[in-house]
Amino acid sequence: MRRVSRRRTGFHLGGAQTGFAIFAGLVLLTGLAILLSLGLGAVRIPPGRVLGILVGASDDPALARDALVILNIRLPRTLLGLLVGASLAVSGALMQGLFRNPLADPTLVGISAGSGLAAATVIVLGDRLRAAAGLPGPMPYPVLPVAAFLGGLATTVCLYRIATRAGRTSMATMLLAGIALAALAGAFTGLLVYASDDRQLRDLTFWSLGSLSGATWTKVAVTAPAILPVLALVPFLGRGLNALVLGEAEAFHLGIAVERLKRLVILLVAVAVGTGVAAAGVIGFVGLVVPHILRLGIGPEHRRLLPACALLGGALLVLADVVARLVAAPAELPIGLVTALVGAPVFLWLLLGRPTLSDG
Amino acid sequence: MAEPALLRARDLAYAVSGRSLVEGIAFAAEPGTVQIVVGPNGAGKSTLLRLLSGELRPSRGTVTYEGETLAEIPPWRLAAIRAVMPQAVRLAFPFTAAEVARIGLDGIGSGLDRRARDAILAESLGRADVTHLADRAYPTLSGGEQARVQFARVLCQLAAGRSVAERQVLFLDEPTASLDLRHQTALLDAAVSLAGRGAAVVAILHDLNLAAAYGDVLLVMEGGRIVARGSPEAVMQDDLVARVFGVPWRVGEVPRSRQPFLLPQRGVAAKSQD
Repeated sequence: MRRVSRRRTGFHLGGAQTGFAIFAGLVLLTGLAILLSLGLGAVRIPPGRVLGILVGASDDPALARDALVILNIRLPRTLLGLLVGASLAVSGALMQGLFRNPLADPTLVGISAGSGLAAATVIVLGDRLRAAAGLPGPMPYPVLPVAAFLGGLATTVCLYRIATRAGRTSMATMLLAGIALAALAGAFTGLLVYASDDRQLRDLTFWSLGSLSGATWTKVAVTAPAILPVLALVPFLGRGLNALVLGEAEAFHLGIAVERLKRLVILLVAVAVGTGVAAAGVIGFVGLVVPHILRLGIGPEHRRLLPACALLGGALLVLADVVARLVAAPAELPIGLVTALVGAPVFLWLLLGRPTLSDG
Repeated sequence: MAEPALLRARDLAYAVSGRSLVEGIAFAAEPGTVQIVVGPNGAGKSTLLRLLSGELRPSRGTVTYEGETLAEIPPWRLAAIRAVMPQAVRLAFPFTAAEVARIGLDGIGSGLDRRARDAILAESLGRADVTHLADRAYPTLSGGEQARVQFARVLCQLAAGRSVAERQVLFLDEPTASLDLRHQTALLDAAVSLAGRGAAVVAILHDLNLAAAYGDVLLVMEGGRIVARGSPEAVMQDDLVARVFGVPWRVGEVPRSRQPFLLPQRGVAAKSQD
């Protein structure tokens, strides 16, 4: 694995060609993932026909059923996968830049756990609470994702408050507090699991391991307006995060308004993660592995890294979803199982192959 | 009316939870001068530097750049006016040396075109003697090589800032600590030549011999105060060295140039400090 140093050459003084090639590759990979995701499943639809249906050339009544499958089921699911995957990977890279630590990840610092706890509360106690409040009927659908979103946001606000003294936010305190909050939220979720019945347990499992199976156009319509603005802002954070890598004082010397940058990044991550968990449950490992793989490929420079994370995160989550659908068809695996089953060994392999890159 | 001092501090004090770190500092830096702060550990040298560079807000007193209060200058403008070379910087991510140096150009050099920025980068890498390390991952470099890359980054920042601010200040916090002799003198030569082009240089050094060789003015700090200031010949006296640094060595003098020097001397009884 001596390729590391050779790969590095070419970025000196702007290795535009290598960067361009990798981005082109990522775009191709994303396109491929989309085609696979639209074509594969209980009904197999060949790529040519998929494209035909997408561009609207599907007047043929024989294709009506395929068009229905693609436009009503697989397309929203694929789009949701792209959005959630991009937000997970970008959130991971943002957190790692902010904490100056390649291990930081929204799951590690408790934001996902907070979302998860709120969701578990609704699943297990929701009906009882409604009965106690005298409200008729079952829990309306939007309550669960809204609770998950608010749970993530509330956890982030807690973390931020704990770590901020006299206008300065200590990233070390925030990381430690996040780990403690994650443990606390995990314990409460465990209590809820203990108190749940069989049906609730199934819901909880699916939620805590993530799934795109509930994707609808409504979900896409709710998720996109929250995640797309985050992705659109990301290119403007690159310079600040690059400077922050040197240290907070150094970033200030380089002209960065450090406290403002930290607040903005924390807010964006909270929105992206809360929305992602609300849409698809807690999906681990994407936020950790995708930025790491890309740093090996295109280097750690954030203006390249962040957009690349959005592409690769989206593509990988969509591919993981294809696997989740096919492996145990007609049943489906939780997507979090797939990302961990595939992601963890890949990550280990990368660590074994490139021993010295990430520690100083 | 005379131009206001490039950098001036009056009655500067900084205290953390009741403990005073720096007190009663009066300071002024003019273009073209190299001022070197020396003093024992814990004398407040780094705190003074952080106050002057705007990183810390003073508990009392003010710092001004060309008459303007430091706290009122936004970070992006400050970045064009002054650069700071910190003590050892470690990175958690494998940025290349060239990428680290280039960070000094980002934003500050946004008014420059790509070719101008590339030229600044190449020149700064050369002046810090790290051109051959440009493509190496920063975390794999030695401490001294990392320090030189940071110096290249600082040179980039000053060169980019010069397109906005004519009169600049360079702060160096123990820049030579991990460098070999050749690179120590090369770095300080570069700082002196920046002063020659109109910058004010303020450096913390532990090596009194380097301080004497390169400083126009030496500031001696002890217990958070400046206890002596002046030319190296005036400041480096046996009694001051004994009192402030607690070593009983005799100050020597290079013939002809009259530059003072201080050698460690074994077997000289330490005087009690009373």
